[in-house]
Amino acid sequence: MRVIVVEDSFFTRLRLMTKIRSIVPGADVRCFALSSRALEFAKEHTVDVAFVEMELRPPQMHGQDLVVWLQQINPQINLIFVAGTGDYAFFGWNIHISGYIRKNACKERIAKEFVNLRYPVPEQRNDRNAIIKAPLCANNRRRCISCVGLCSISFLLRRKKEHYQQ
Amino acid sequence: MKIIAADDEQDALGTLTKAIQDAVPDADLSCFTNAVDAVKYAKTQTVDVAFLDIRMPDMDGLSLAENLMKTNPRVNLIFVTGYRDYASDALDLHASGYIDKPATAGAIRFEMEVLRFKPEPNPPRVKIQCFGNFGVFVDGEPLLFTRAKPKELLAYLIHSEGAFISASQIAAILWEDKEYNDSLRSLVRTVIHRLLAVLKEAGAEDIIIKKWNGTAIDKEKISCDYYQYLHDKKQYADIYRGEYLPEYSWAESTQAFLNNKTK
Repeated sequence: MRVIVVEDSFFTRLRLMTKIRSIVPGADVRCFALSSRALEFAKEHTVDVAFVEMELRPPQMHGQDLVVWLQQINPQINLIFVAGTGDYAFFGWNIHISGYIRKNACKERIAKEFVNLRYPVPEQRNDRNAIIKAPLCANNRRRCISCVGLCSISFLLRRKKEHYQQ
Repeated sequence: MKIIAADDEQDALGTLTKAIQDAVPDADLSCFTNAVDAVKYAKTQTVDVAFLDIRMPDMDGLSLAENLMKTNPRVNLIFVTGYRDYASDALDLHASGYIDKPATAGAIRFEMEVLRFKPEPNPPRVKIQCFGNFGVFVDGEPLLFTRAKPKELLAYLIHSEGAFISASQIAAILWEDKEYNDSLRSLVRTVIHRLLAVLKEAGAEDIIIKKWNGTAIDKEKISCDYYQYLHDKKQYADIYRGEYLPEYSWAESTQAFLNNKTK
């Protein structure tokens, strides 16, 4: 299963990524701060689930345009809107998205989205053991700042856990 | 495919019914002006698609949707309304569609193609309820047992999940303290015969497989909430309310097991 997160705020991206990675550990989860990069990635690889921030700031492509493009590339994509308010729900119904979560959604709420996907993920990509060692983000050379943050925080937390376990 | 439509206004319900019949001519459609009747119907049958109005006097469309989801978590909810305010709540419920009033056949045809939960092509006629009191429904009608022992035997066969049960095991379950002798053997034969007779009257005797050394239930021919829960716990988590076949003492250990699992 391939999941992408398109979100321009660093902390929200971090939170979403950690939660999604704990819910679907075998999936290929990537994050993008720029919608153009997300679209390039979607054109080359088939994306099954996309968490798209609706309130992307200009000069970024608007969230509503991005989801329409993503659906044109893969009509069976499960789109999940991430927004602070519920204003985009009606637009979501017009294009038949899979779900809608608020920015501070808890892990159980996000897990519920994965249980109720609109378009089931095809079997050949639903192998949990397949892709474990995927790079965190699409920048092959350099990690983007959010992924650096993700790595360091998870490293620090693991160290703290080991320290307390001793 | 079983479809229900619920709207308190008669004219709107008429338009909706006509549009559904245009779009899906071969579906089994039932219409309700009263939300309570709709929920009662859904308890006896597996409803695949539900077209619901949101603004209704006695029960809100969203509460009706939640009640329908309790009976079948894989029901495709399609809200038919002119108001946009409920779009966000509909998405939280993971409904399948949200269309404008008045509904057109074209919009309904499109919704049928993008249903969230694809309905089963040939749903079983017999629906069994294990959570709460034991109930058997054939084509929506409850099956009445005049004697308690055949009903308990059917419940035990379902509890065994398709395993073959010999006559001595049946005797041990139905008559716990009695010694297994010839008279008890013939009693067991009579009970099995009575059960098959009741099912034959309803036209559902094919759900029981009877061999010379045992009797079993055919899991393919029934839809049971207990089996659905075992199959996919995450999606069916709301079905189990803490009671599994409460009237039978041999079901207590499974109930304790299920209680532990839900914690």
